[in-house]
Amino acid sequence: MSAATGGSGGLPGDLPERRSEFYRTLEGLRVQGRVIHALLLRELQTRFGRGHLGFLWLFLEPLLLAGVIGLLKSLMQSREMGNVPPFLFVVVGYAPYFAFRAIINRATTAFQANMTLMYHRQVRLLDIMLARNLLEMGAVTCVLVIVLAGTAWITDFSPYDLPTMVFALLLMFAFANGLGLLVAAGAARWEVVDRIVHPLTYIALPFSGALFALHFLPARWREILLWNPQANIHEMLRDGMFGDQIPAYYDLTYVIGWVVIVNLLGMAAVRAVRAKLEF
Amino acid sequence: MIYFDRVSKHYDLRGGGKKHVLRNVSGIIRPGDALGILGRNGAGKSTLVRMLAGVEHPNSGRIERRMTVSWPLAHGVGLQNSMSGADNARFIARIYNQPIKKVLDFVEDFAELGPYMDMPAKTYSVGMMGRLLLGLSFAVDFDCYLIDEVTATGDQRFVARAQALLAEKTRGRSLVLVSHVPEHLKMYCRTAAVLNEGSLTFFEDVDEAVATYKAL
Repeated sequence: MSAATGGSGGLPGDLPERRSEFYRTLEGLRVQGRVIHALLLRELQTRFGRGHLGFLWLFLEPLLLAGVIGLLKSLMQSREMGNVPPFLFVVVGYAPYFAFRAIINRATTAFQANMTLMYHRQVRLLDIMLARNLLEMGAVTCVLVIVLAGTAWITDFSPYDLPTMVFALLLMFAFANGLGLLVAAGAARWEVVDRIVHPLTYIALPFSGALFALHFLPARWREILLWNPQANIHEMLRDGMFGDQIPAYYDLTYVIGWVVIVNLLGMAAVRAVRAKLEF
Repeated sequence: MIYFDRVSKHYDLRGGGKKHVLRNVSGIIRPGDALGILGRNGAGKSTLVRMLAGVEHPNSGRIERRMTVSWPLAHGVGLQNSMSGADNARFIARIYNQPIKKVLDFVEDFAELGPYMDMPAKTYSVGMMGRLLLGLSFAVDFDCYLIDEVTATGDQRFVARAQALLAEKTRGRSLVLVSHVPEHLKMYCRTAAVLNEGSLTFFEDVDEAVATYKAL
């Protein structure tokens, strides 16, 4: 032990060399991949237990909720939707919204609940968020695949334009991810965020365009709702699903702009909040 | 080697004001060092260890790590209480890129948890937790181990085993152990430092550090 005392500036000469910038970036990506994989498995375990039925709940929960609402809707049978089965209409709207809301709501406790993991240097806040969000996205994607495959098999109704649908779904996830990062960083900084976010996600439902097509709204209302990127994404999803049967209104560049901005801001916010975390 | 230069850390207190935990602390930890850090409760020992580990960031100053450094081995952190010991071991193996089987076998052998290996970690006694933590970190093979009191809680048998393993493991590697119990330090460390009121004073001789600490 050499007892260096305060005031000695600069690095000592015999410090081992650092690896090149490129090597460290590559290594960093490998580490991040490993960490996210481990976090995903852990998240599955802590949320659903080790039992196999626990794992099933991941899919059953959104499936049941969307299913019940869908059934209620189909019993009420009112709108002028032509050949569109009301059940499908609701599932395609509600399942992605379910993932969106889960990502945002769960983001408020993301850091608090995982502080103990932050004792491992390689576990970064961004990894924790990505692992959680990927799980939510995976679950809802599975639900959609099950429902769509099921209806295609039973009723012969298949998505009109699958690539558009997949792209819209990816945009929805990316948008939720960015907002989730912002919410998580905000909640780590100010307690109020946690209180505000939950009611907000409920209030936001009617404005999200998840449960109705904008085509059936008066033009003025439609224009207002289209300021919301989420409403655009839901329209795009339905466009991919139902095609010409329901006219869709969305601006792809507008949505992509939002997605990029929200994710960049989110990553910056998470990074800024990391240095301030207290253990 | 861990090199830290003029590191300062303070916490903001509620209602304004600051609590300075470390002021301009510098030092080097070289391969082969076994350094003990003594300090009273709340002196900032755990904060220092977290910063050496790169987990918490200093307000000013720099810390360079040029060897692999363990996570801070302290009670109730770094593991997940709702998960079993075995699942925690799998998680650690994954994030530290170790073969899962190797980590599991090592921990089972070292921690001697028996059937508790498959019980949630929240059901563990303090001693069992300490054994699990040390076992996990030893399974990974770091160049430097940062130990925050966890070795203090074991029974005789555990202390003897931990001592033997630490002596073997840390040959040519480094150990930083913080504690408020001088006897504990004497068992594991060759040099020592005292952390008091934000400054860190190094001593070549552990007994000298203990005497200084007791006189505080």
